[in-house]
Amino acid sequence: MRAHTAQAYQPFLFALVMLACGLLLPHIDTLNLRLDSGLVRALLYIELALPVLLFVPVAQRGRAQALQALSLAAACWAASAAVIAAFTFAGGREQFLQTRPSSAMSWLLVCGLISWGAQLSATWRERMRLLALVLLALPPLWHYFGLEYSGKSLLALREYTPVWAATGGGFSWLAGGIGCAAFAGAMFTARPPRAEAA
Amino acid sequence: MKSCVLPVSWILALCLLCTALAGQSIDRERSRFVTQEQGRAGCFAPFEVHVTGGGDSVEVISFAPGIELVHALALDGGSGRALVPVFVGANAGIRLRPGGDAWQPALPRSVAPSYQQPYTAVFAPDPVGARAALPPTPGQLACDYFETREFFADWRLFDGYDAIVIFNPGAGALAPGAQRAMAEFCSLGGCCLVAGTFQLGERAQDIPAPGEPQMLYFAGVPVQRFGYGAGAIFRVEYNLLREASAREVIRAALLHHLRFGAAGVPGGQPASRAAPALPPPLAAPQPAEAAPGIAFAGLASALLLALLLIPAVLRRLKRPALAAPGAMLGAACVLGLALLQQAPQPRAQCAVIEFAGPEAHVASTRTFLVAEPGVSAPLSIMLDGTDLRLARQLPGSTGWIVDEPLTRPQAAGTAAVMEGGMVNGLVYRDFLLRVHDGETSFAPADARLLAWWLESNAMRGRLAMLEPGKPGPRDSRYSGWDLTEASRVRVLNLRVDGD
Repeated sequence: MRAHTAQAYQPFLFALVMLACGLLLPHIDTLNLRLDSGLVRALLYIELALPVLLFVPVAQRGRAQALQALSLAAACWAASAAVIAAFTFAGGREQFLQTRPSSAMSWLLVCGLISWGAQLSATWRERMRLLALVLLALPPLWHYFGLEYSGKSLLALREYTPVWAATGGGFSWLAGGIGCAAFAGAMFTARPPRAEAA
Repeated sequence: MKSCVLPVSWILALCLLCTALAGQSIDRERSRFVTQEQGRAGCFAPFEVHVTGGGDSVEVISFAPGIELVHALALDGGSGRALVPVFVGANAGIRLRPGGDAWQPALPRSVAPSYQQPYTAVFAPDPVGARAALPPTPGQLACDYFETREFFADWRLFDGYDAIVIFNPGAGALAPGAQRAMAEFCSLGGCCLVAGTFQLGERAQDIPAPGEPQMLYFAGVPVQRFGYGAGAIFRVEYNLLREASAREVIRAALLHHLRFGAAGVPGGQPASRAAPALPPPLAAPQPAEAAPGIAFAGLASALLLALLLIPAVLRRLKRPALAAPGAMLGAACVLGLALLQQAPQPRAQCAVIEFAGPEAHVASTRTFLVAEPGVSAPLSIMLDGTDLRLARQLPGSTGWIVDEPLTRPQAAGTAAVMEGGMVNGLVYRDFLLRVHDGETSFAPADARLLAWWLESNAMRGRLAMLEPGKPGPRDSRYSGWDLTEASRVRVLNLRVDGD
């Protein structure tokens, strides 16, 4: 019960973290960020990383209730987006609006995978989190390794890589498709409610 | 039962409206480049669009990277035809609004800029006869043929061409709009050869008159040359042309203009309106820094409060399942309000080169416009209004090259003469050092732009006068920008000896 209560405050946690990042980042000299469109771009990247780090769905009983994770993910996404929108007073509004579809797809992918894992067990939830991290982080790493060791760019992966969504390129439909499939998987693997099971 | 009928009928009407709007589409079978399957890469070429599918009007948008040219098309019986300039390059095409039907047609064969082969639009009452008189010759002359009554009324459709040739345009075949397009094309450095008795401006009073005529002889045929800003208008008697080899005479006249009057081929790349591979080094301005105000503080507080209170209240109301949707709704409301905040205008910086000829009342401008990083909205230009600009993306940065014909600039200082790689008797790089040190009538900030132009033109047998430009009033077309003019320079193209 306590876990369910904590889950309801996750959007607040997301908003708080985003707000803290937005207010603190311009004061870190080494980042060379100012209160302008550059800060909004930085927040867009942080927004993509947040679900991998913070999203914790609670396993629900029953297929209908399993969709709670989806609405929770949507609430967290809206809360993060609202914070970035609040920072667009400094510019970067076009970029913010332009990246909404690809950001939604990225969140769908990550939250879908983690929710599916949560329906199975806490261990699987963390495994899925790791998988989402790999999906998001490895292609940019390959890109830089490719540039470093063979002089080849792997930016062709941009369309399929949600982490580049913050640059406004591509809609990452593949990520959205996998995310939808993961949420469907979470619904079908949900354990039946106690009454049904009895 | 009755209460259901009204909403259902509304929904049906809405569906029908949506179908009508979404039904407009590009007729891909009939739409095409009207050129002979050729065009100049990096420039715009005339493209005929056929729209079908209903409705009264539609916006035809010619899109290219960073650019949108918008033409409002009135539909007759649900279909219509428009002639719009389409960029010859990657990721360019046509889109309809509303409806969103988009199409990237196959690119035509590119005609590269060349001092040997002018790319020419030929207009004649009989295009077949014109083709016989002025046949396209590989490596010597590239031509597209049109009927005189099809003459384009918008200079932007001539963007890719070096020259226009008009055979026998007498009897008022050219509309005033066509004459204006011709004047605009010439003011941008283009060349127009008229074989006949036509005089520019005789049917369009608001066009600046050309300069005094100068008699030249090509293949023994007398040809009058009228300077028109950076461009020129040639006129030859139609009957004389019929007696001589029309191809020889016309090609010689066009090459005379293309080579700045020089007998030999100048060095370097010939002039074309395609974006230069190395544009002037114009630094992108830094975005304006803003400070969080009361609106930001209010929004942030409202968001945090909403996300704290909504789950707590719903839990007390025994509706915990609604906590997430409620939080989402609250966040969405704050998001909507946050987007109403006034953002600082994006910063941009521009450098302007004005091209003119000895006739100082006719000129055109090329503006290099660089925006702050992060600006991604395309530059939109209405093709139907009084806006005569044409833009293309600046290579290497967020910016545009904007060409505008028939501008009337004013000089703001003493001119410097460039001849044989020297400017006012100094090697041009020494002259640039003086400009940089503020020892000339140019502003030190002009040094970069001058350096860029001189590097491309000083050693190529060119004769020109350079003058500091006088900044005009704030351009209302850039009212959404915080625009700073970094420098403005005038270039007066002169003809070398041999004219």
